[in-house]
Amino acid sequence: MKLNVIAQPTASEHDVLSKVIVVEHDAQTLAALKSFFEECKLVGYRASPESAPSILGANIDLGAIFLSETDSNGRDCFTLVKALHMARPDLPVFMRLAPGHAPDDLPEEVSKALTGVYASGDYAYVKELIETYLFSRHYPSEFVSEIKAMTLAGVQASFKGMQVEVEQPYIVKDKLIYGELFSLIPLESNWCRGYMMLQTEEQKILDIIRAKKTSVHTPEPTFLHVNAVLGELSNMVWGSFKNRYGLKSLQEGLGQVRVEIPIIVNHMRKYISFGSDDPQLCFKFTVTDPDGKLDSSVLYQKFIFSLDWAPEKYDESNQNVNELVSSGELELF
Amino acid sequence: MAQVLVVDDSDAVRSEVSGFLSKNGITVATAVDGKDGLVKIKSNPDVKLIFADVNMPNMDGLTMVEKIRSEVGNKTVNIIMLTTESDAGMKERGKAAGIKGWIVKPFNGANVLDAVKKMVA
Repeated sequence: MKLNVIAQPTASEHDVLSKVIVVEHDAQTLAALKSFFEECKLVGYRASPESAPSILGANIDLGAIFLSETDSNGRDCFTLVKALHMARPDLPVFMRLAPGHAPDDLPEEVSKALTGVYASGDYAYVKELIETYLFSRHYPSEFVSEIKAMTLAGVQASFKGMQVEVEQPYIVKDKLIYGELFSLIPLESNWCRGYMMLQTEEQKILDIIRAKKTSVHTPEPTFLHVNAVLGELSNMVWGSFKNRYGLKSLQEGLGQVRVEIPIIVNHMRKYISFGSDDPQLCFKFTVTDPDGKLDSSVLYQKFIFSLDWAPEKYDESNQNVNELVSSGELELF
Repeated sequence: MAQVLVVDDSDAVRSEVSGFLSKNGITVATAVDGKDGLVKIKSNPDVKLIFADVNMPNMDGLTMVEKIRSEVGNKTVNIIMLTTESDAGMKERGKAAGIKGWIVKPFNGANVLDAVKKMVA
């Protein structure tokens, strides 16, 4: 589905963006939102009340929904609000009130489906809303840069002779699963604790294995070989993370209460919850065959620091982190 | 008779390393974890070199190395750790058990072929 992008912020390589859906008919508001989104690092995809559900269905890595109280014909969008919230309960929904309307005028069931309401032109308040409900976590730029570099090296090593591109990092509120398989591995340092998840599609990785562009050499690869490729890639990224940031909390945290939270997976809905509503840091890698014989394969990498997150400690200890390790070289003793 | 034993829980790594060595005329056996590695080294006493991962289920690679030296009593087989780990303490533990080298993954066969040929000669 071709998306109508209304805002694409200029961003430095490691700025963290977020993707939002915009259901808005008012030209003046659209122009103001475009400017606001660019300032706030939001990528805006425009939808109509009719197309919003299908656009939502086709995009599983969103940050929020912006919509207006009424459509271009002056009809209220309450049914749409409730439907969108029902379909994607994790996405914050921000609604622009019709002129002269107040939050108390809204039906209770609509208010419950909304995260925030704002009056036309009150973008200072909208900024507060997105800082509270969307960009509620600060991911240090250097950290973002480092984990991107670690993963890129791992993906390039895993898919030999393939071109690897990575999109601008972004945060998602969605908890939906991409593809058919994913790996999950705990990550831990003295300032963060959670998980890394790598999601992908089986058939496309199978095709890459068949084309002998991975480390697995077998004439008839199965899903188990796909698992092996994804598992080893996850292992490499985990190792790089551990080598860079260490598992200091394991030593420093002895005797402290160690929190664990159940992870819930709903297979029917392709949904995974880590028990936290905090935004997840996402990288999207696209692996492309330079000869054009294979379909491109996508890997979604998500970082979910649901158990501990103290980036100020990263900033403090950043001078002391270990150097990135050069890989593939034999160190003889 | 295998010349090299590759011990790694990852099918991808076992496939890559053994495939590369086989193409270069070196015979290879594989094991899926440290426990399996101990069994395989006992049944392949002519193995000259072991590539071993560190993080494996059932028995980690460093424990396996120590047991090869102590329980199996094989003091001569060359051992190279092939792992995502680069922790200095782990390397020291490996050195104390007499490992010959350390490679941080990914495996790059061209970087190690000369050394491997010398070790299996």
